[in-house]
Amino acid sequence: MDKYDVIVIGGGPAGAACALSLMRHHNKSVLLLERSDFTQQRIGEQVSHSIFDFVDYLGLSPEDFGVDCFVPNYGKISYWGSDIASSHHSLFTAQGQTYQLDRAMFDETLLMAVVERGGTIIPRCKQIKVAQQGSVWQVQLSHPAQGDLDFQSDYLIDASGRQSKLGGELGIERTVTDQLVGVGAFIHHPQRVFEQQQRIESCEYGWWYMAGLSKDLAVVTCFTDVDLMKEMKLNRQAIWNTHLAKTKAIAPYLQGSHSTQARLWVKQANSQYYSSAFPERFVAVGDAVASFDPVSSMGIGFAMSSACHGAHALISAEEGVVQYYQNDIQRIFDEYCEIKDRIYQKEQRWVGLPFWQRRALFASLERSVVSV
Amino acid sequence: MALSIHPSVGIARLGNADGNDFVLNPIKIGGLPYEHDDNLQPTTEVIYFKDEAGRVRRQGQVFKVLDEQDHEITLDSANVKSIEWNVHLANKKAAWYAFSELNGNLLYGEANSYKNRGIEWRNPSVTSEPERQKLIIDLGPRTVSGSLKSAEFDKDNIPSNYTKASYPGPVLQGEDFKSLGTLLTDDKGRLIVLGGYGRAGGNTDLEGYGGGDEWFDDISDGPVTCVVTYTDGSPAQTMKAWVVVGSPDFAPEIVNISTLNDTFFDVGVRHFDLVPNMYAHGEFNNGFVANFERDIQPIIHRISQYQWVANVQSMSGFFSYQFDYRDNSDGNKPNRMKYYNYFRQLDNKVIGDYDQPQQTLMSSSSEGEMLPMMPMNSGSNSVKSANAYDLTDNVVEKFLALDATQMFLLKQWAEGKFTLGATDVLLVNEMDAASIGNCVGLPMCPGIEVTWSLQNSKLYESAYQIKHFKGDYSQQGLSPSRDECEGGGGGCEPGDLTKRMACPWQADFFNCTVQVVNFSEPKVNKATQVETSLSLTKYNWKDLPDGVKVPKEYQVLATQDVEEKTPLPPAYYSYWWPPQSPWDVLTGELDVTGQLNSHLPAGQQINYARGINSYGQMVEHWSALAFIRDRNAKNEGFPYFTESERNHELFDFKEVGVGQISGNSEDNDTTIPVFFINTNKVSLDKLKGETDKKETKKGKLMTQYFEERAFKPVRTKNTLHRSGTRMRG
Repeated sequence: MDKYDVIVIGGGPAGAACALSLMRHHNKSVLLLERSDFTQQRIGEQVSHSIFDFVDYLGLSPEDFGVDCFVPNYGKISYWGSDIASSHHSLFTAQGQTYQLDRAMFDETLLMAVVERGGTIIPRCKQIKVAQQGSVWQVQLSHPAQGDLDFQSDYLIDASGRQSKLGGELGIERTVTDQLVGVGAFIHHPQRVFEQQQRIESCEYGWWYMAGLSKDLAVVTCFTDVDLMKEMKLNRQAIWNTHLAKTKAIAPYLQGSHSTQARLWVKQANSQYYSSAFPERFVAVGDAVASFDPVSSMGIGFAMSSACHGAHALISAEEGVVQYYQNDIQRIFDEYCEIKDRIYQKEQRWVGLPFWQRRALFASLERSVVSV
Repeated sequence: MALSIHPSVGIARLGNADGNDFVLNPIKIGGLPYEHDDNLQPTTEVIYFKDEAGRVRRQGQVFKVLDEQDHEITLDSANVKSIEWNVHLANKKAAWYAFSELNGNLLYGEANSYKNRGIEWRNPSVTSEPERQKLIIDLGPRTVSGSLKSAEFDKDNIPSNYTKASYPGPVLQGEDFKSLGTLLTDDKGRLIVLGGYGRAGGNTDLEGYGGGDEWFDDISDGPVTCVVTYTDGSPAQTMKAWVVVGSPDFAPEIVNISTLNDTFFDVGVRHFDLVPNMYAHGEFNNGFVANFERDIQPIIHRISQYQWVANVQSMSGFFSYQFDYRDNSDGNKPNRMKYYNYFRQLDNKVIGDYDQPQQTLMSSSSEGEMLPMMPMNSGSNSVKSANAYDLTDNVVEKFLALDATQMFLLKQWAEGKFTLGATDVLLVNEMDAASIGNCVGLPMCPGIEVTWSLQNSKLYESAYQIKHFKGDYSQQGLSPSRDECEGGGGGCEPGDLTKRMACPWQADFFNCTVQVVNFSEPKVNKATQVETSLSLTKYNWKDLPDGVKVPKEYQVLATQDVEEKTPLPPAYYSYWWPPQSPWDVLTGELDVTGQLNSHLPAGQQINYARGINSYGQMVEHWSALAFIRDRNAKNEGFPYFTESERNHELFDFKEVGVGQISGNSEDNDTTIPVFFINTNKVSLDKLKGETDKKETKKGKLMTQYFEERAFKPVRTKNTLHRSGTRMRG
């Protein structure tokens, strides 16, 4: 059985950043386990300039990521709170210059750095099971080419994303504040130049978002609450199409394009965080520890910052540092809730309708606790 | 000391996985292929038949050199200086005659020659001999020698002195030609032949099971020669063999009741004195003592395995052990004779005689005495009628009979002339039997690997040895028109053994699992069905004043629908070679993901090729089909064959309510499962692959790189893992 100092579960930006941080600043041996085979299409996001501070902290420079990895944003066109388009980008962020991130290039650079610096990455890990015996973490998994594998470590990091079940298995409580879901599709257009295009538009039951991923491929997502989705049957292609057709900002832009997949995907997009104490020698980072409504554009930036801080807290010899880290997460989440509420309050046309009513002032204070 | 190559006729099988991802041949009839190590030595029975992308791995054939005592000669043997192998693969299909069942088969005499039967060439618009020669896929011979060497049959390394090379150019449908295969040597200097990559393409729409004009596939065959030289200056020795490339064997553990090994054995026995005390001077020796385990038991076993690939319940009595098949006492003779008498006798191979045993379906016509005769397969022409091809006396062979030697051995058994217990008197080298024993022997219409020309002794030098034609191919090239079955024989050229097969092979593979065979009219298989509908319109008049009389008028309208030739009823549902092209199989997915992808529970009997609904789809997607594998293979006698490694992701599934056809919505409570390829999905997947090629391809390479670094050695092939979503036996 192989023993490592730290096992990181999850190979997204948060997991990779943890691994790099642990190797560079704490000289630890790291094993990173990832469920997928890295071939999934990942959706890029806006990031603020502060991401470069974390890149620097990990011993990388922006140039290492390739020329087009960070493309300055020209702002998005939004129909939010009004049916007149606004194109200024101050609506959703107060962070100055933002960049559109090429997720494939970004993730790949981080992962390659992990391996080049001596870390071990195992993709395609299924049925990952963890247990703490004394001060040692035992990790078991099943690999399609290698069969059942066992590993041990001193520390364990949960970077396994917003749908992670790991926390639940370890008895960590998760607070969930809403039931937002995204119902979306990748859209192809043979001629259209989608590049750097972002459009956002509110509607009675939520909001629509379109983002260009490459010149002829875009992702279009309808965000709404899961009960509204079921009621309206928005996860059915025909109904989704009908509602998409009614959008002002997005529909005209998609004329003549078609979906690249037979089915729509449905993904959780709700806000949630780990709200009870962690086991010893454990932290969670990125979407696993706290995830945010996509309207906030906080995902990647938070993945990087929580990874750097979380890794540092985990290894720190001082008593209570992980608790400070958790308190910070709580504070960030509270601040986020205020920002999110402000954004949703800018839409006043449908305050009586369920989606918007639920997001009215102070809604975020009435949090329900759901243990997962 | 005389040396020989084994197997004398090897069988490689094509595959579309990457060139270096292949398995090695099974070493027994009904055996699984083998994984191999870096020295190309076989290690363990196959783990995956396909690669991670769901592409079928090629199956290589290993050739060995044996001396007279059956000791193997390798590069490690004392006094051996070198072992040099020369192989010349070719594909003559496009240059040969269109497939027309038994026409051209000279075992029926000269009157049945292609010429006398007026059979058309494939690609008939190409008329001159030099131009027809260019229809042949011929990239010249290749030579390998030494340890771990290779040579590819592609256009980039045609021997410089070979002047007549030709191969297909770009095509409108399917894939462009790439290569006929690869030669390798293992670390001991043995030869491994790998066939093509399953590419097929053409410029016309495929319509029939024989294929189409302007099509090619990358099947091939050709001579193998081996020269051994010695360090002490003894004269070098040259030996000959042959290799045939077939399509994948999707159910390798299940074999046909009459295999190609039975065909070779039959020819060897009856024409080359292979077993003189069994057959000599033109007749079988009625005193010959058969051996149950060697001669009879395999036939019974094959019949019993059939059910896993085709529902032929009427054969169940032939492996039910209702009496002791091994009991050779006189008291048991009536049982054995009864068993034997259910087997159809062979037709005489003559033109114009339609009153023959192979035209008969049932054992008797009286109720209570009725059983379809054995074996319950189609004969080698149950397709075209006596008057097809503008002939009046076309050979019709509706139902199958075992070959003459199989029938003789079965008769000896029935009469009690057999011994019991494994015998060490093997009549044939085991390697020679194992390779061709996994190919179809009967029926041959045309079959899937090779066809009825192998029943003709003119193709052979001696038992199990294909005769090599002596010609200088480097200057003349291969003949597009010479019939090696004609006249004195003269031997086979590269491509001759496979040239009669469907072009592309997928056409026959798609069409030829079942056949509905008329059993009432000896001269008729199919007829044109004309359906006439009559409608009668009658005019009556009302409200006419008294005294006004209008004659009643009738109007009759008729419409006539002419259908393609269809099997004339009454007909019987018969099978071709389901061990090669399965029909009824059990689903095998045992985990959630697998079942969700397959849309079916495990253990359901279902059509094997479901979702592949046209010739074209078979050309493109043959590698999506499952391999049928015994999941309880370690416990002999308790078989459990299911599908494994089917590429479910390719297929969409819908349950269609009967009401959609009948118009009655009440009928929608009954649904019909329909599987199909969502062409939109496929093309868009491809498209997606293009639009984010950078992303997914990189991701895949990253995964490979990470796993290589994480696991050393990279992949252990000797252990069977049970994780993941794909089924492994």
